[in-house]
Amino acid sequence: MNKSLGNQIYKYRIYFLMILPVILWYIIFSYIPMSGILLAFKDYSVYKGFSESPWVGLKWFRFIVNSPDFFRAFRNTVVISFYMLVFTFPAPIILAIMLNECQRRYFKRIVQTISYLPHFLSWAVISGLMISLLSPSVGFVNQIIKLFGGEAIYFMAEVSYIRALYVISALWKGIGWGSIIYLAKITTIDPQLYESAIIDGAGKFKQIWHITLPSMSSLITMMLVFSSAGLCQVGFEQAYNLIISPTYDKGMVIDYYVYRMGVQQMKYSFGTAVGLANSVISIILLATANTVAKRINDEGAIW
Amino acid sequence: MYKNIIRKSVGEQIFLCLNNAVLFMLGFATLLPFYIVIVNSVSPPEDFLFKEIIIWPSKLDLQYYKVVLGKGSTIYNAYKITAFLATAGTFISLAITTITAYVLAQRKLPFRSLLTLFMVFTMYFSGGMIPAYLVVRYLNLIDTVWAMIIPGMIGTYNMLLMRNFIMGIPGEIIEAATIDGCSELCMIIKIILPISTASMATIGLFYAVQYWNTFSGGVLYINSAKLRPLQVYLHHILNQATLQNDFKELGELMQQGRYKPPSEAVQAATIMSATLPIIFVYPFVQKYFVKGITVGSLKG
Amino acid sequence: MKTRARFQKTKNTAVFLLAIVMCISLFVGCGDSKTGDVKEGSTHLGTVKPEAATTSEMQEEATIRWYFKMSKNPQVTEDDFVIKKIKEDLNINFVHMAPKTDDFNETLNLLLAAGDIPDVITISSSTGLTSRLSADGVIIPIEQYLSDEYIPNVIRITPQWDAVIKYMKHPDEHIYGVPVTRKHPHDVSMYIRHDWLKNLNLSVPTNLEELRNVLEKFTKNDPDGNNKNDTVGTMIDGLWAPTFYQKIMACDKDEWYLSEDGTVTNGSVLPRHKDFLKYMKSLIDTGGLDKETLTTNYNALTEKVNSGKVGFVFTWSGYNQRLDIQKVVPESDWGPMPAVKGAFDIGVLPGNAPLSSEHVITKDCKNVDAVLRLMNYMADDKSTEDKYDFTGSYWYMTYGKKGLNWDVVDGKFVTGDNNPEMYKQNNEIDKWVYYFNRFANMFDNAIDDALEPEPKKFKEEFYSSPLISTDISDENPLKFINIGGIVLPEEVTNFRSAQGPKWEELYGKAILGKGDIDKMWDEYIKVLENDGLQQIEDTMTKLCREYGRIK
Repeated sequence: MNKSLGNQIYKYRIYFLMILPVILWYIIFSYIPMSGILLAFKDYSVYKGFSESPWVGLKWFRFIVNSPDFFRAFRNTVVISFYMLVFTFPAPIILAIMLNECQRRYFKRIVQTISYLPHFLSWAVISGLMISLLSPSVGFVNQIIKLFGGEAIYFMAEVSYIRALYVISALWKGIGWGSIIYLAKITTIDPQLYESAIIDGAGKFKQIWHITLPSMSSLITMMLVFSSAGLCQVGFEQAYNLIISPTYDKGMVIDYYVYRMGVQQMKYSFGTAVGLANSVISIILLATANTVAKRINDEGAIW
Repeated sequence: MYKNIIRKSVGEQIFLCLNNAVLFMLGFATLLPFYIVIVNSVSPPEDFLFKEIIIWPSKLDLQYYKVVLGKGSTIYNAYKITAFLATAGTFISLAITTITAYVLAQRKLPFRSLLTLFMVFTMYFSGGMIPAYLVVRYLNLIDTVWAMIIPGMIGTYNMLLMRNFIMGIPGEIIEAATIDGCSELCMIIKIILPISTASMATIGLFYAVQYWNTFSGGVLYINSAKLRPLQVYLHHILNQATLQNDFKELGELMQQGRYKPPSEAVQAATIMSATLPIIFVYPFVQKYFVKGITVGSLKG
Repeated sequence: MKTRARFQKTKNTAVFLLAIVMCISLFVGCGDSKTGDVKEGSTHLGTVKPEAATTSEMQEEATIRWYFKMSKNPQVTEDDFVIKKIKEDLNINFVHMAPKTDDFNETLNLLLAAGDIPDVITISSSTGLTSRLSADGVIIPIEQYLSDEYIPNVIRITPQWDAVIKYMKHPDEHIYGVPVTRKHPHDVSMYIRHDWLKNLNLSVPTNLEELRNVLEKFTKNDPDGNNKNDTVGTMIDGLWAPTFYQKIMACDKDEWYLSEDGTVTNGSVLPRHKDFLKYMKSLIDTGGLDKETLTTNYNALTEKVNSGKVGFVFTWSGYNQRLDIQKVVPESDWGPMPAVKGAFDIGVLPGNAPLSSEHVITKDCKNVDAVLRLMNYMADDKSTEDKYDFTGSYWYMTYGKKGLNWDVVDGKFVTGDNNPEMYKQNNEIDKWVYYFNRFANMFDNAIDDALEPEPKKFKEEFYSSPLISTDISDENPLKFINIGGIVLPEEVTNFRSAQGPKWEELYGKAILGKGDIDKMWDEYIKVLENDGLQQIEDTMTKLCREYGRIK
């Protein structure tokens, strides 16, 4: 056994050589700073330094879990991130396929370029635009509603709409940029496959189902695994800019909640503890998704 | 080629029509916020007072661009720094990422899973701002342009995407090259690179945008004003402008009895100054999305 | 096919070479700024060693690294007018160490961790940062320097110096900071469109009910006579502006009051806080307050005011300068009005804490003398004998009496808070003032005096009114308790953190009518009780007694 492993290593020695500096980089810039995670278990005083700060064990974790609205924030985070997965994951794929099928070259290019523009706007700007658009007095959406005889709705203050707003705004912002990688993958598909399929009499949908999608399957699987890791996370920036107090019931998420509870006040250890909890949950979800992915599509799994 | 000859079926025509319609609506919906930003950046101050949302400016007013871009040569310095980051940084990152991805794409590589996990782990676990700062400081990189490149040089996510693409290269091509006696370096340069135009372009674009948007690195590791990247510089401008106190251009405008520029407008001009250049990069990237390189075409 | 591959290869090589050339050229170009010289007056955050004292008969050269956050300018550079003046007059190299992010504490943490400790730090007095730093041994006690020997100017321009110093003393009997006081603590005013009042034949409201009535008419009765339904009584941006109304009704959620049973409690826990919530809701229901207040931001509000569509706002001196309405709507008459009566039938003009921040000196400061010299220089001798009745009040509360606190002059209402025009830029001295003001933002007291050579006579009467709160807070007519200077324990700050979002939710739902206010308030109290409200009240009562704020 040993001998064969040694042989393998020797056989692949040049690869190891190539990757050695990379490993070094990871150690210096990722693993060495990682020791800072230990601060999650201390009450860090910057002046006292790392060694002199007292150990407090799980104090921060207990503090946050025992705080009044933690479970509500947790529940909201899970529900919203689940909706995000269901709606915002397939959308870029569908867009990529649609763009690919588009025959008019310039139209396709223009739409593609426009579609990723919102990616470059920050959540602050987008939320400002949403407020204008959804305003009960002057917003475009409400004007339309009034035209049809309905009553204006103060969307951003309605707790029943907030989750939809999360998803819609995320979709708006991310669909274009997210489709780029899928488009790139589609271009690697051998055109001869399509040609033979057409000769065999396959229609559009059959072509997409039997050629386009399977060629992307390993990429889709990998992206899905990564998205699963984010199942317990909703971006802080989006939450901070989107929710107002009447919608806290369904809109308050963990990152924002934790920020209000202590990150604001120079509680460095507290912030580190929260980050650590996030990381642990994410990696567990990632590992689970990865294992499932291995069974289904070995190429798509991450490790 | 065949597609032009065979007449499309009715179903196909409907499909294409619907397809285009949906794409059009999507284009419109995503263009809308940007359109509003563009219009805000050139509308005179009166428009902001008396209209709720500006559909079309009453007249073209470029004063905000003067405010944002007009502070003499200092912004051009920021553009220069950022341009350097976007080119050199992208090049370095792309090169190293491709090599790493190529190595990890070898299905029979010993310890492959372990190595991959070693890298993926760092995506989720981080020690925070202070240890990162201390490492950079210890390496004497503070206040150098490299501090904005090296710590973020390898994007693990991008590397995995690249790996996925490399793994997708048809096996026959690799075999053919190996039979022809290709070494690893030759393999990368003569085979992988030419085939991977789409993925190189895409990952290159991702890196370019990342470097263009350098912010936290620029704030944390840079103290000297000469090395500020674009986003950090514009952030300062925006702070000053919205507080409207000691900004030279604004002061002059105030003295002329003109209106203080509405902060929305200055913000819009800032956004355009930051994002326009990178948006123009994309059409060049699109060129590399060439449809399908057949196995046959590589035999040469 | 071969040609395509070869073409690709040449392109690659070209790009490769180009990149190398760029790298080299910029490396050469950027090399200087790194192998840095610690230039004099540079903002390099490396280890700056103070220059050795020269043997000139002038002052010794010194370098001071001062960490402070300026809202008006993120970073002061060596080209700055004031920096140059300081170097010229005092031979001091002033290095501004600015927060890198919006978070003051984040960067401070970073600097301390990396060993780049500044010489002086300016800390806002409302945080417990000073006590934390002193507990960690970062800063040194300085009570020995707080005398005429070192900083006579500072003492002279600080109103009621002795009272202020009393509040700066820590439980360990040391004083760690040089106080920075605001010139105009009482610089909040209510501003109203007097022309609209005239058009609608209304008189200036004197209590909350009248205010609500006026606001409703402002919205509904077309006060500007343009036959369009485009005016609104008042607007509020964000969640901080309701504070003014809370202060008038003596139930501020961020402050502490003496409750019926003699304990110290949070303003939002008092039953009259329900009245506040109901009042705000009634403002929205009658149309006087713009319904979309929760999604209104500061800029939108300013623009709406400046376009002449808003009838009333609370404003403070900094905000006033943005009310350029005269330019847009020349016929408008936008002016201050006296305080309306609120809780306990008393009129209140809320203000800011006179004590705004303090300068602390760190252990690593090698030149305390230079620091004191600089502070003294900044507190120049242009001050006058303005008297403030500081007597321990964190906030000023006052009763509006005609002829005493406000008056009608030439048919216009005037109060003591007509804010000086701070940004005249016409001549040298004003430019100096302008720059000085924006840079210092600390000792602007002296500069304001330079602009107003004659002290305002009414101010003496104003502040010597018998109804100003005194040390013993249960004589304070609004039952307000001053907790300035008290070092709050961790459980209180934790409690307040948890309270924040919960209150916001209560407020947001209450004013939009998403529930019965009494019921929601009861639930809110229940949550606070679960979170330890009783213990917090006991702790605060004990502390206030210890510090002599209540009997």
